[in-house]
Amino acid sequence: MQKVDVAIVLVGAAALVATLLGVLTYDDGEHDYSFATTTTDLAPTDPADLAVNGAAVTFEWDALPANATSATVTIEVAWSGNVLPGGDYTATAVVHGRNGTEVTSSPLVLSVSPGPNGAGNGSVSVDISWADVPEDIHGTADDAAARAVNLTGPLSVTVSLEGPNNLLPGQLAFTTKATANVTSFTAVQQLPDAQAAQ
Amino acid sequence: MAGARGQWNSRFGFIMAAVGSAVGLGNLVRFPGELNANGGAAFLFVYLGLLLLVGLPAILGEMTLGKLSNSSPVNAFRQLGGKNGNKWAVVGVFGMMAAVFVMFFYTVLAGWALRFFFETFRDGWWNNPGTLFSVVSVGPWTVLWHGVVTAATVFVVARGVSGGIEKVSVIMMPALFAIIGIIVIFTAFQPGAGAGYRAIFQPDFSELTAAKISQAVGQVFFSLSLGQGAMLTYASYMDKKQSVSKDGSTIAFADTGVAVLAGMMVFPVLAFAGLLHDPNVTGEDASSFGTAFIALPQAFLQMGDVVGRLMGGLFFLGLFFAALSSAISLIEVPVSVLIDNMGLARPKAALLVGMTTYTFGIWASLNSHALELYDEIAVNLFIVIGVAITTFFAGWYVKGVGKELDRGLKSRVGYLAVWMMRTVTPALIFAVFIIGGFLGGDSGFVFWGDGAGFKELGHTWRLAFGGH
Repeated sequence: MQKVDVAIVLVGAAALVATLLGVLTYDDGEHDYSFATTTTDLAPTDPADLAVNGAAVTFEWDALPANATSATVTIEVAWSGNVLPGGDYTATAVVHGRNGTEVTSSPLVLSVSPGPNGAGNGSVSVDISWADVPEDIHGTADDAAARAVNLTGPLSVTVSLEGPNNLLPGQLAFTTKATANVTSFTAVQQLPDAQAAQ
Repeated sequence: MAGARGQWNSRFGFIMAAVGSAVGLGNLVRFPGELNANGGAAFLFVYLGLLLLVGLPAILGEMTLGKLSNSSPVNAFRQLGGKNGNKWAVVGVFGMMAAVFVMFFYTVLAGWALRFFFETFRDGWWNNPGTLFSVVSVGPWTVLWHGVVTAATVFVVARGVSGGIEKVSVIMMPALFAIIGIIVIFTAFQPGAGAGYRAIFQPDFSELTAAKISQAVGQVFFSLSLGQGAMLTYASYMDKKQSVSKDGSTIAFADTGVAVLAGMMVFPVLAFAGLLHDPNVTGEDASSFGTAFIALPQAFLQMGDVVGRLMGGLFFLGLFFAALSSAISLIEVPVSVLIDNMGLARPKAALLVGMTTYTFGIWASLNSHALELYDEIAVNLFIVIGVAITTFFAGWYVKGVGKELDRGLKSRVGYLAVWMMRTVTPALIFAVFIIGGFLGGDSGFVFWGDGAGFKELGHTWRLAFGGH
């Protein structure tokens, strides 16, 4: 038997052993995932009347996308009517996210100038986050499904308005409405790539 | 000597085999994706320029070394290196190692294509390409298909240059061209074809950053099978009367032509299915394997049962032909070294190399990071440095390169080609790859793009061995 024949037998044996070892010890749960984020707009609310120094208005979105982690809520406050004394009106929005999170907006100040048949508006946005987007996972011990955000509950915003109490009833009206978008993630299985694949 | 080593029967056979080596998975999927992501015709314009400045001199240099020496890569450098031949032979070993490391995973990729082709007749990818790909791309079945492709490759190479490689190439390559032609013509009449063409041809010069240009250099390199000894080995079987300049240019431009046609095949299909703007398919970070094995089958699905299955089946058959012809050229490199240096009989050399690459390929079949690791070792450690030194060697050290390149031509282009090999080509390779390679990764000075650079190599090494 020549040296090359011995080498062929040895390499053949190694190939057989490697095949058996590889196939028998293979863990088919081995996958790598990254997590892609998407932003979804929620349905805008209808305008609602907002009382000065009175009851707050609450908007609520019950259904959020799966694995939602954060949201940006924007409230708009508009006014119209006859204004005699005028003054500064301050709107505040308190956003309630999942997992008991709560963020209060910076004050939205509406400066209403005295005059007949005036109108104006302003808006303020609030960012709120209740979970983190997972980092890439590698190997057999990790499972993309285990990274799901299992928190439930609505996203809501409560808007209140404070201002000078010197208006005659019916002279000036305020309304408010809200829009929101939610960021959620989906697991994406990472695919290999090869530059030298010509 | 030539008779003992083998020789091509015809110029056509040689060109088909060499184009088969150059045309691979990258031509059919990666190049169209790069056209789309990097400015369409603007990228193509730069690519063609770099083909002339880098690709053509490099391929002519490699081929001339093979033809002048009539030897495998290691012997070619030893023979042409004169009194320092033994030192220069290391460069030949570099080329052979690049071919071996690419071979470790290339038969795995070819196995994916073959499995997807067979699944056309079952309901495999017809139901859910993504699910099928996760089974096909990694796992015990991947080992089996990798073994099937390796066995086919060994069988072809064992039968010799003209009796095996040439015979298979003159059937497979025209068949591949016909398949691409059929799909291109068919998709031209589908809704969305215009959007598909615009995606790859509409010029956008604002996309051409330094990183994108370096990406084009990389595509030229890998697409022409440079730095792996394949072109050198194939050229060593040329008839002495053949012209390296004519054949090398034909191979380089045929390779580019196939890549452009592939774009006209792939993108209208993606446009038809509304996948043109899906970042997972056409985004800069999209995996070309994901496009080939998940997005395109999804698009074919939408063409209906009979037509979609026919077009999808043809596509995967073409992909397999492209991959198999490249795998054959890769395994031929170490086989030729064993024949020339150790005097082994061709069938035994092919069997030995085939079993070795099969064994190492098992890891790439069971661990996708291992596949990427093999790729990065080949690219970062062997191919780039190998091409730079080979071109430098052919330009400065070897006598008679210009004369050989003038053979069969009326005009004298040899002097110009040698001047390019001495100056522009190595300088560009050095600037783009060597500097980029050392500074690549997280430094922000990334010339090699994703999955490249020495830092990235270390990262992939850790992942392949189960780290994070």
